[in-house]
Amino acid sequence: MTDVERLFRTYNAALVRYLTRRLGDRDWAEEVAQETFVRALRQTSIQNERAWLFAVATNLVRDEARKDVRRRKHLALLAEQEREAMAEPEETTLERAQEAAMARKAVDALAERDRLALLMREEGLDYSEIAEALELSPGSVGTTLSRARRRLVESYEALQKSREEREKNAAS
Amino acid sequence: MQHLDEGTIHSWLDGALSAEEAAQVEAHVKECAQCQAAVAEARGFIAASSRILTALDNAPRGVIPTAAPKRRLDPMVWRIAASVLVVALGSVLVIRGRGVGDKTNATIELPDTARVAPAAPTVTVLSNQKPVAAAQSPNEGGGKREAGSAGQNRSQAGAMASKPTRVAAPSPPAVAGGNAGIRQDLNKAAAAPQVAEQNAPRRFRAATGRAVTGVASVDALPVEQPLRVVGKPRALGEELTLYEVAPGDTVMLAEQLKMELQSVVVTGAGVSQQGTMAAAAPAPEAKRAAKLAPTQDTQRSAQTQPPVPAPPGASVSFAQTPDGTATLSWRDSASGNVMRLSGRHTRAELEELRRRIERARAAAADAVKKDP
Repeated sequence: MTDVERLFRTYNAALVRYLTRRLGDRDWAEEVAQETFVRALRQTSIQNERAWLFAVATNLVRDEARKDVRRRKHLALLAEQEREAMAEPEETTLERAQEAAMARKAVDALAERDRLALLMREEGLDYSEIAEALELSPGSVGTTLSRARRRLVESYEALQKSREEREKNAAS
Repeated sequence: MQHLDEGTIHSWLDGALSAEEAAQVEAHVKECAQCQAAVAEARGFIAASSRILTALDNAPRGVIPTAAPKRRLDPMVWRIAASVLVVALGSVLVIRGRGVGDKTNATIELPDTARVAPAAPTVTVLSNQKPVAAAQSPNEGGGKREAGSAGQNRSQAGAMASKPTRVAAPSPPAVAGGNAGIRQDLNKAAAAPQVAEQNAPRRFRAATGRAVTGVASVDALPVEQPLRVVGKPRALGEELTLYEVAPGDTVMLAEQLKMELQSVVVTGAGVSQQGTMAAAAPAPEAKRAAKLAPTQDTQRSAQTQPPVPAPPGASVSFAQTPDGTATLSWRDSASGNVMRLSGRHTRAELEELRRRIERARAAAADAVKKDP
């Protein structure tokens, strides 16, 4: 097994999940993950593999977004429509789709650095790896994560509450 | 010790503190009710945020318009073309072997094709695929990225290709063995002697005999069988149609969609240029314009504009590549579009084919008018 094969097998699932959560589209996530491994091929040596891969993937997303803001806006619109379209069939799916839409909104509401740190942590990166990937000081990762978690949960709960109120109003 | 800050609590719960720091935190939490509550709250945030993020994992696919997959001819087309050619070639070999292929002999006996099929050399199949391969090439240019950005235009072109008014759809062959082959007009071929000689080895005047058994008259074969459409490769800025002239022998008709050029002219440069540019409509410009064609709406509106009359003196041109692929170009009198018909044929044959194709297209257009 080559080195890249090993890298791919070890980290692809986590990287795709991280990117999917970050981007809201699995195809796009897979594309970026592949490009990340292609970049890894060109490296002679990587010190901290996981931190390196997540950092490169994050930068790829950032570069692409910077390159084409209009495309991103368009895609955000499409993604929104897609999410709304997903909320059509039976009730369990509806419920899940609404949860996903609220989760997306809550995640999108986070500051970029908080969001990335949280998503990386969820993929098992330790504090030093997150610090390396995001170019943070190791001491600030705890603060970043605690802020990200609190804000995510609070905005999700706020969305949930307003939804419940809407449903209550609709029922009465 | 003062109360723990939230960052430290999360670091502790995430196992990110050194053993010494962790021990200090632990000792404090045991003593301090306020920090116990903060730790409990932090645990709740950690668990809840994990759960929220999990909800993102069912992200839809295909939200991002990724690069359109390369469109290739259905492999089945190759297989059918190859097998039909093998059978036909086998027939010819046997006919020649028996000496009944003489032109003066009005009737020939068509053999049992299944029996002679293996005798045909497969190499010939490859050489005869060239025209089709050439027809395919316009699709293969361009990198993945470019294809992706052009994805929408491309799909629009596809949608337009499926419009009934633009489809030349000859009715299926009514005669048994209908896709058998065309009657070669030797008098016409003689008008272009060199080309005729170059192409001579590929000639055969035989039906597949799939449905024709026993004795059949070659000259009695209907001359005007509709050409069968065997493929419509997609391409930007032009509509491609593959016609089967004979088994394994196809020609490609490329119709450059002029209205895309006009739409660009209308939305981009000044309107005053519209007439001259559209009238000249040189091939590369039309192609470039097609790539730039902005929206389906403008294409649609442009489509309804009246056709530009063909410039005098530029009616028909003919070109041939060293590998024997010839191209006949002209401007369609009805639509004003530039048409290119290519295949491994002589000029005379191509002109004959053009006549038949135009007739089929006119018939199809009439049918659409009558029965929209």
